[in-house]
Amino acid sequence: MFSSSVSFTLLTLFTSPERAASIQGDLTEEARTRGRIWFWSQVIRTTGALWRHGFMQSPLAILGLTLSGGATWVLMTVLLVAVELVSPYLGAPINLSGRSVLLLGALLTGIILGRAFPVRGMYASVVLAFASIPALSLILFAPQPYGGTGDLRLLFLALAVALLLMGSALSRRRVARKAG
Amino acid sequence: MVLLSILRLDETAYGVSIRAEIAEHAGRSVAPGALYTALDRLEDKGFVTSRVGDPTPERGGRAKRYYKVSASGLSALKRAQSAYQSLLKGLERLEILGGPNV
Repeated sequence: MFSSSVSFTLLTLFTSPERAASIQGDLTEEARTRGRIWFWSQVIRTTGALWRHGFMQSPLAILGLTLSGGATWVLMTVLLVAVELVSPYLGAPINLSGRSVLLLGALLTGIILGRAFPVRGMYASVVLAFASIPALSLILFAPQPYGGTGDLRLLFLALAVALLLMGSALSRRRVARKAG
Repeated sequence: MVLLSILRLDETAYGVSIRAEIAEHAGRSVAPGALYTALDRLEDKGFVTSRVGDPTPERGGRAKRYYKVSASGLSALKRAQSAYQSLLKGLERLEILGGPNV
């Protein structure tokens, strides 16, 4: 079964649901003779091409949003740390690890970007996801308290990027559904 | 090339048929992603219009998006053809185009 909802969801990240449906239909039609691997490779390549096309239409605006997104992520992280520090005094102590704070910050940043800017926010989230990889690597592979010595650092890195993109995609989808 | 393919296909121009037409006549394969972004650009410029057909089972229930060259698309094609012919003028003697050597 080629017409999975995953491929449709991927394509709708950077184009309208109507266009994504026709593109998915075209790929499904050709995949009958070319196979499943061809289908999925083309879904990924087409998603990338749609992102590049959209990004090139307003690169400065998207880069500006990316910077804002980065600042939001830092702000969210600081806020979460502040909440953690203040919570014992409010009678409900919250115990978040440094990594959990970063992950929550990533998810919230993605949600804010996708909700405030349903179209460009998604493009900016992708740029931010790639840009955050070296920054997060510096934090994760640094000595304690955030670096740690566990072997799950790469998994954490992937999770942070995934949460950022997921937050943005879910918000975008929700806004699109509300719009009709 | 995309505009010419749509013109040749007339009422049956959609993603798969356009790619097949280009492959048959130009001898090169166009990636689906490149074609869809090109079609988006052409539609943004008003060179083509599109309409959605009926969903079909062999496409997983997804409808085809048919494309048609608009009047401004035709004008753009004529301008491109005229520019191409103008650039070719004076090159007849070049060996590469099959003429006698200079």
